[in-house]
Amino acid sequence: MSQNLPSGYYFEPLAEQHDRAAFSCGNEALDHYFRGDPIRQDVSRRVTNAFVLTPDGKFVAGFYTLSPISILSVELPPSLQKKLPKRPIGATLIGRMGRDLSLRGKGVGEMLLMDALHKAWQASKLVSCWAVVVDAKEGARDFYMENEFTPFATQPDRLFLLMKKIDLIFE
Amino acid sequence: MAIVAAPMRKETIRKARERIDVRLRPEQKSEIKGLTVTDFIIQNAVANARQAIREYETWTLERPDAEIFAAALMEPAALGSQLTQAAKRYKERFLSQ
Repeated sequence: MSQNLPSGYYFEPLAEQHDRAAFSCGNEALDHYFRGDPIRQDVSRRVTNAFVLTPDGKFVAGFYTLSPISILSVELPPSLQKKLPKRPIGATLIGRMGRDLSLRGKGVGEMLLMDALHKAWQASKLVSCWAVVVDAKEGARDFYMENEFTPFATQPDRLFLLMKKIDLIFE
Repeated sequence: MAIVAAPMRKETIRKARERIDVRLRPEQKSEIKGLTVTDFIIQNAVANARQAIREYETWTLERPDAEIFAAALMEPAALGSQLTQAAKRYKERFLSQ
């Protein structure tokens, strides 16, 4: 677990000095997104923010992206509708997350997720946010389930964790 | 390089001029009143693109998903052991100073 990750690693926003080309998480689509132009374009257009875990400001042990998403609930029975406004509510989306293959089994995924939750929680103190939502890529669904995310019924690879639960972690 | 680049450019130009062949019945013509077929198609393409972007930014939960979400909101929040332990490991390493 995380005890195996050497000390000295820290999180910071993705920047030019990070060695994106050397990164590989084993998922071709994720690697393409992170190594190539897509992530840089998304960040420069403010479509998403990206953060990396690094020991030295160059090597990338893992990364994740955060963006805003609105959730609109329709067709709720009256008893449940009371809990949710009829207009869209804000949430934070972890769109992509990946860990370098060289650090498999060292609890990096857990640290990436916790840091994403921590940042979403901090942001929720400024702009209201009901939940963190993830798009789980192949094989990652179990990881989020273990970490107490709840899958949606019609899109089982999309899962959520309510902010009121994240509050309990960081307050 | 120029030899390689020239045909690529031609290809791009050719593609940019590809046609959409659409024939309308008289009653369909009356439905796009005042617009040329081209303007009609462009307007609708833009409207559809806007709609697609809106749907991406605002995610509409259909009934089963909305019920799952609302039901979770009604439950009292409680952390399980995995998140509690993960949080402890994270805080020790990254939030302890």
